[in-house]
Amino acid sequence: MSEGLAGAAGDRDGAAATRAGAVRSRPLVSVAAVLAVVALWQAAGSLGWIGPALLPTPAEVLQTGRELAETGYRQVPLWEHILVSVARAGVAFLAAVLTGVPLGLVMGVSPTVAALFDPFVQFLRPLPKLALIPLVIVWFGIGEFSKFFLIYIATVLSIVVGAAGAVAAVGQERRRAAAVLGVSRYQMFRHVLLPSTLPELFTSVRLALGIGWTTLIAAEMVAATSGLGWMVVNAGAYLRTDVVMLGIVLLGLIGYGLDRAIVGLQKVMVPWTGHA
Amino acid sequence: MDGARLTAAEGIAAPASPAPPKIHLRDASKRFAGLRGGTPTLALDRVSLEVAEGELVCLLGPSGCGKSTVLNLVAGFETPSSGSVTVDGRPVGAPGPERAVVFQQPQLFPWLSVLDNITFGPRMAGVPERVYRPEAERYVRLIGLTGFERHAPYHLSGGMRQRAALARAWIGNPRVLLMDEPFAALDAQTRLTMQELLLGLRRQTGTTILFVTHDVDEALFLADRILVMGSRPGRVTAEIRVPSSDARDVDGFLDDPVLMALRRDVVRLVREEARKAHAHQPNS
Ligand SMILES: Nc1ncnc2c1ncn2[C@@H]1O[C@H](COP(=O)(O)OP(=O)(O)OP(=O)(O)O)[C@@H](O)[C@H]1O
Ligand SMILES: [Mg+2]
Repeated sequence: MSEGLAGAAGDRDGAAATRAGAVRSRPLVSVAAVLAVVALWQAAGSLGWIGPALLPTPAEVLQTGRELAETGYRQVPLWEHILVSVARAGVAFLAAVLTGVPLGLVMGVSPTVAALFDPFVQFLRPLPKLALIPLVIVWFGIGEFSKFFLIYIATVLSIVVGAAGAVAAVGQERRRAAAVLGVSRYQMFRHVLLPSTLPELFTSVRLALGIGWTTLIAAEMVAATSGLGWMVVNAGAYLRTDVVMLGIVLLGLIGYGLDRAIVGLQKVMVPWTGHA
Repeated sequence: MDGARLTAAEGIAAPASPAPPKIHLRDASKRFAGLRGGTPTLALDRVSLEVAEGELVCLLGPSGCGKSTVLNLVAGFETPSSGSVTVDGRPVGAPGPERAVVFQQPQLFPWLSVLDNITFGPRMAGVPERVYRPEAERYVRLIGLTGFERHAPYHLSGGMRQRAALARAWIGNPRVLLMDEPFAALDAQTRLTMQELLLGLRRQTGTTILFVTHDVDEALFLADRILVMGSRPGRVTAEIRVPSSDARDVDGFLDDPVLMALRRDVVRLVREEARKAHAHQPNS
């Protein structure tokens, strides 16, 4: 999570050489820290510090994972729970990016469009989207569309605001530098503003992904019959802490993986991130 | 062509321009609305100046006297509140490649290679590659960036970036080149190299240049003519013709007693303006 940001800052402060060495040695520190925590967790269970019903050990969670992978949870295979959750988040999030980025960019360029949408965006954005859940269930039931709608509405607004802000953040001098090179309005947008906003767009998309993943789980907890969020809540009701733990670990790992995927995409698509 | 100019080494002369002006400000004023209803700033007060074809004029003066505002009017970034600004006799319109600008920061586009930055203007204008490509290669050679064409701008030093910005501005064959403290952010050594590069390019192209600077030595080294500006409100307070020499170089420049005498005059003028500017704004 912090690597992309730290890398950019390192290049900017001109101490790139020394920082690069520090960054390269850091994964080892991270791996060691994770191993230590897992070992402590295992020890807490094995040595009887904490009862197994409260905190199943990593070994037990791993074992549960193996069982669920074979037999499924409540007649639904584990991979299906995972896939259902990822697919829900993925579809809604993609829709949010594909609509939110263009709308935000247009709002950034056109004051009229901005004035038109701004009141609604500003009202809805700080609203805790979980407050919408009862309404959404009344409107759309507990089918797939409810989940799609909740995740979409939770992510699209911050993407819109981020994209509009990214356009506004393009400096006057850069716009002037482009203007004296003779760009048309369209060329200004396509060849100057759009690439200028890409680093910030990635940042807001990344933040929105975190929001979307969180919302997904909340949505599945109240209105679903499958998915990782549902699995965690259901298992909690039956005191299957091992399944709860497994669900939490999987949710965390998948969230982390998605975030890394976006960072990787940014490195390929926007290698100039952090270079003004 | 202009004998008086070659011999006018005494310095301060009455404003006069023999050739038809390339850049012409006539009683140009610029008033900026005050922030939150505060008193408006008169950034320029009836400024008149002319820059002849092929001339390199430096605007010199204390911070806030309106040097950038003059440049912005000529570039078309701002419109005068009153008076007129013309280039080649035509009123200045929207910014465009015929009035190229080099800023203090190079303002290269980081997502484009050095070469793509340099060719940005022609490419946007739809000039075919077989036309702009040889031009670009020529400029890359002239600015000494051969071998760096495919590099990303952020992998170059500050001086190299500013050279690329220079080539990007020059490749469109601008009628006038406007430069706003383009070398101020560079170290002293690089600045000298850039100044020599600028004079070299200008010798080849004969481009008319309006150059803003804080630095008296820079102005003396580059300029055919220096316009000293004063502030509150911004206006041109003195004009100094710098004796020309075809092969100007830094060493000869420092040894030249005439230039050094002129330097004393200019420093005195600029100090005076700075002092007056300071006296007018006791609480800022
Ligand atoms: N967009 C603007 N809005 C309001 N006031 C402005 C604006 N641009 C410039 N000014 C004011 O006009 C005056 C002249 O500004 P200008 O930038 O031309 O000075 P300058 O000579 O270039 O100064 P410096 O050497 O610091 O760059 C200043 O008092 C400045 O505060
Ligand atoms: Mg300025």
